[in-house]
Amino acid sequence: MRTSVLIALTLLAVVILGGVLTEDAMRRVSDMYVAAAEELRTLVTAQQWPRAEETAAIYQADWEKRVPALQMLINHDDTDDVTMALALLRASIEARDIPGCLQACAQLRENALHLHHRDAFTLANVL
Amino acid sequence: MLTVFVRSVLLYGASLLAMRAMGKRQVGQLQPFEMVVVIMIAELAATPMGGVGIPLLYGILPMAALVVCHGLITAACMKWQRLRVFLCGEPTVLMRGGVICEKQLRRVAVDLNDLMEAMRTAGVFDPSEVDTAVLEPGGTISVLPRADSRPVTPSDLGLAPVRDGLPLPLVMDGVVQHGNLTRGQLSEAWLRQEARKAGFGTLQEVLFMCLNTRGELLIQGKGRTDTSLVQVMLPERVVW
Repeated sequence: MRTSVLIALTLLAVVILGGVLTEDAMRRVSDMYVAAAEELRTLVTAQQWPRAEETAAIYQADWEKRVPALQMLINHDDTDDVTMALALLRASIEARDIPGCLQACAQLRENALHLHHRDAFTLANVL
Repeated sequence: MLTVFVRSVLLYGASLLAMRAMGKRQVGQLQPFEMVVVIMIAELAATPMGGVGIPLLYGILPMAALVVCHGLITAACMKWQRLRVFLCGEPTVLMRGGVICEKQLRRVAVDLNDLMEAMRTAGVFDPSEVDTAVLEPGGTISVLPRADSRPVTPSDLGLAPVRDGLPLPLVMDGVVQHGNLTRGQLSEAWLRQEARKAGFGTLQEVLFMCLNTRGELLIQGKGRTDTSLVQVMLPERVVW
């Protein structure tokens, strides 16, 4: 009996702590890529193509490093959406396609926001 | 393909751990809130098992949530009788003094066939031999035969039988059961000596050796079809 309660309470503590830490980590990743989308949009609008290319490559390489760990925490579809948006953005920058870039930036922003929003501890998600 | 296999193995382990964490009662005696947990665990494990795109945590975390809820509800039920009655229900008497309680039968939706089946399962084929039948909160029906229909017990005959406790298995498949040796305050040297007396060079040659509370040692060797039962100590010396 005491063991069961102890297991339950320990598990509860682990889940709460894990939940808080992962939510914080997801928020940071999400914020980082929302900011990246904004930064890239500014560079594209100013037509600073070499800088935009360099920045997009840095963000894409960073994202590829994060994906395996993120896939342990969130649905793979959500990480795939960000991967696709980044690839699309890079291709559009290389093609110097402003409308395509803006569309890809908007897509990246929404997908990055979704990373955090989908599993955030909110009443809307709970219900 | 390998991914699905490994994920299934991991989820099997997680389900097993969850069931173990909830204790032994889960397997045999399910209360309504426990039944819910068992059904949900099976369902939760199955979802991420085949879906490689779903993180394993999505299966393990809900299981953890169930273990937490179950642990806390069980503890609360032990502490507060009213909560236990609310969650598990109370036993319902279906037959009292040999009379069927029709109202209760209807209330708990048990028909006469179910009642008769429960009597037969309890080994009573004639309803007139039943004194009391109770529907337990777990859903089983317990049957108490009338005093003149139940088997005779030693106390009916005024006898005081010698205590017949649990026998101690001392060697199983050649392996000495040290915990049981300690419980019976016996030594391995004594065990070897008894094995030698029974014609075994080493304990590894013994398939099964068991000491009962009458002080008798049952021995069977590996690959043998005969057993021996020898008195090795007085019943008064039995300490477990």
